[in-house]
Amino acid sequence: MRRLFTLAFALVTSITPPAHADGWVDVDASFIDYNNLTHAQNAEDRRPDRALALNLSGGHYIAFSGRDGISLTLDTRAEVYRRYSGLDFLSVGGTATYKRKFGLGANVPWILASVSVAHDEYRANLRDSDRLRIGSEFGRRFSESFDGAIGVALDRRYGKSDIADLPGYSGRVFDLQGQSAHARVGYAPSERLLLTALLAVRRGDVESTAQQNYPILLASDAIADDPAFRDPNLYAYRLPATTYSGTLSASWALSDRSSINFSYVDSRARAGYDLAYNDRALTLSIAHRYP
Amino acid sequence: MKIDSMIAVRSTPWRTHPLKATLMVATSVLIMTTRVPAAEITATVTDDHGKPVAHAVVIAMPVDGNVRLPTNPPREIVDQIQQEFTPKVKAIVVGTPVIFPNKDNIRHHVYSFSPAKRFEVPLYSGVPAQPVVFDKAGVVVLGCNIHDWMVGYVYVSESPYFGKTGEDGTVVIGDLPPRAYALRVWHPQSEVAEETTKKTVDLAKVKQAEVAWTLTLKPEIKVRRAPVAGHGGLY
Repeated sequence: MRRLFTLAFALVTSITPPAHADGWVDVDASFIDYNNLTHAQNAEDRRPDRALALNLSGGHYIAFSGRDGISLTLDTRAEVYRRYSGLDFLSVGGTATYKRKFGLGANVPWILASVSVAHDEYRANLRDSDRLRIGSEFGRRFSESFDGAIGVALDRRYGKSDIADLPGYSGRVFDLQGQSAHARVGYAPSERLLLTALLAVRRGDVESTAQQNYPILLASDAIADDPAFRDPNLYAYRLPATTYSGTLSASWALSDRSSINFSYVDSRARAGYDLAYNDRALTLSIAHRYP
Repeated sequence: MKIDSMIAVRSTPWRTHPLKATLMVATSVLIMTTRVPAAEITATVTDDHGKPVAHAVVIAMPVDGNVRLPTNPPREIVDQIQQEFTPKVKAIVVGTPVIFPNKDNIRHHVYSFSPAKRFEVPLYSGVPAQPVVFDKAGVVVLGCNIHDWMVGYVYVSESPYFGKTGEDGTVVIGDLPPRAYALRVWHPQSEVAEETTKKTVDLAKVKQAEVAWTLTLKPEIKVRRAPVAGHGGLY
């Protein structure tokens, strides 16, 4: 993991934008409070924890014309948990985003298409996976202080671990796929403050860690022993669900290059057999962009 | 020094006495070379809290409407440095060519669709080959289609007598022919229309005048440039 982190850091910091390309390196450090890392329905199975996260992303934007261009980024994310160190992970990946504005000016509609790939390596191997996300977003700015967008995405997570614990069930708990749609609005009441609200719905596989119970066995198609929470009674399950999530965030610009950010994410997953879980994550972060 | 005097040239042969003719020529030369006492206006712009307002354009328009615009105004420059227009506000007289050098190592796409001047300098680096000539009075808002936060202003004045306040909120408009002027002030964040700021001074009576405005400024809200922290995958 340390070697992977060193490699990722070297890759991001060695990005040299070609001439006439916008180049940047984004760094953000976050403190995150999770109330239900296990994505569990029952109170006795929920495991809250706090984590520190560091995002390092370097990229450049290549303009094809004054109206369209592509941005290529190399993204790394490391997350370290206070109690459940098995969830510590490092993710290394890249994103290509093509964006086109339909006209001239800040307030014209735009569309983007993006492809992201990443490899996640966890301290507990069960969650090691490769991820692919293909998304598209359509939006426009209505004024200097108000903008909105809608989007759709397909996500695929290729789990590496396949150790089956129960006959008839797969062990690929983290082999997940889903489709999602979202709507986002941003409002800047002042030069420095930006408020954002995002609503999303996702249909597809989710993972939930819980003690064995009859409904979750019926709803799941993959089960594995989950060592990340150091509780032998907890198993990870893969089950189809619909997840509704809302995000409220506030970003305060400290300068043109840095900001302090707060976000609240509330997710509610609903699956068959009356299974449901609610998650909440609070994040406080500082972001900085170079140059 | 601008001299608003006309010298009639006779097309008929001289029939006056040579001495009289010599005196007339000498008088004309004297008129042409004598410095007409110029006047100046010191304008100060502050906001509601008494703080000096920089980048305010003060325009002095002769009340009689008699202005002689320069026939070939010099080329002016609005740079793009670190993905911002520099200066943020440029004041020019009608007919001035402006060049937009890109001093960043990335490309910009400068445009405006203000009624006073619609133009586009497509994606470029370095110095554009041709300047943009601003041939109509008014405010021209500049933008870059790549970097939406970039906003600049070109104030195109119909009068050759104007100036822009510095950081101290003051500007001195000098070399004004002695006559009455209608003064206006414009600022990109001003709550009030430029026309409502009109004040009159008569420089035929005084050679120096001080004029002050207090402007209520709207907060400057432009497309945000600062980064926003990314959200981790939470599904």
